[in-house]
Amino acid sequence: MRRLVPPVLVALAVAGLWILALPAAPVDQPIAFNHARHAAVACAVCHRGAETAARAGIPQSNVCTRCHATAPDRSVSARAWSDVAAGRPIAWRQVTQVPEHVMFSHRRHTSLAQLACASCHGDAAARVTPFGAPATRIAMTTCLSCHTREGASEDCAACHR
Amino acid sequence: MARWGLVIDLDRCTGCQACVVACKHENNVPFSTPETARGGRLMTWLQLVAADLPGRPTASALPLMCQQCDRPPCTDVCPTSATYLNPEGIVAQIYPRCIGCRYCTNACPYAVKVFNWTAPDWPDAMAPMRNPDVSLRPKGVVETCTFCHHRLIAARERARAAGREIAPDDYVPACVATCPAEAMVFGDLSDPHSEVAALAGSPRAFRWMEELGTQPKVIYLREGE
Repeated sequence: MRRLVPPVLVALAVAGLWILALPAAPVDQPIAFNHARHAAVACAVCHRGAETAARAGIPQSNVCTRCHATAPDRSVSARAWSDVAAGRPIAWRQVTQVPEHVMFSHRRHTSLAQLACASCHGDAAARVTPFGAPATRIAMTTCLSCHTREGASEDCAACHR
Repeated sequence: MARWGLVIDLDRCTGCQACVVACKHENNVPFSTPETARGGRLMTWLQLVAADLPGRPTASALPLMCQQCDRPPCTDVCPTSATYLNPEGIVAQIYPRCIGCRYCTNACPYAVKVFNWTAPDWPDAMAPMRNPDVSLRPKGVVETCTFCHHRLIAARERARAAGREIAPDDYVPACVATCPAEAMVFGDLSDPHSEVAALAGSPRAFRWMEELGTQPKVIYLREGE
């Protein structure tokens, strides 16, 4: 019996670590937004600031109603559309976040360094369902590999705040 | 490569402490109470200290922040390279690397590296006033002035977006921008035409505790001469 204890403990530890390493469950978005159907529109049209500011915006009702006079199709429920049409805020859940100690500017990377949005956000133009989780995993090595290749600053304080 | 420096004219400084407030506001420095100060846990990156200067009958109020030494004792002792001298001469502090050992706070002769004893605690009403360009440091790390380095990053980005080089007025720390007496001058010490370089060569110029050989880039101008 005693011989079984170490392997069982190891198995439990492995199982625990495996569970901890699993990605977080995807979040539900309030509207089943189809990026692929909007691929003809530039990202920055809806995600304002993606090319001109540090932070890229998450579109609100007024952005939708600029083009949509009526409910787009059955993918948006009548109730959800009535909120949009009334200009009420859409409760999008932000899925891609940089850590608190990182200073990231969209403008610096998109309009100045000409980095494609897909580099960090995945191929949104091919997505037919809304993002429930980050499309790509960004680690410091991801940033540094590009900074090294492109000759951008590798000073720690250039990105850490 | 620029070598950023700060000149503080003690003849102009009125001791109003606007710089102290500006620094706290700019860098999301948490509040301290008289009790925390009495307990030796005052959290401030910039404060006015009483200094006995030669030839002065009374103590002078010396705005004291990280002296941004060219030979910083703090970086020599940091076991994780959380604090280091960056290529532009700014003593940077990388909070996720800091293990809170406080070697640097002990090594700093100016006592301007402060240990963060508490998690950031902000009243909800003040949350929107936090500077989004500066992090809220977690409990257990050492904090210090970085010459508002985030302002340099932002200034460079603005200049690049406008298709030009960074100009001297583009980047000044919050304390300098606020000083109502214009006692603080900031700029590139390596540029011989800069105002800060000219003032640093003034006969009134001195560095605090310069006999220690730390070679600070904060330069004071003596009063009353």
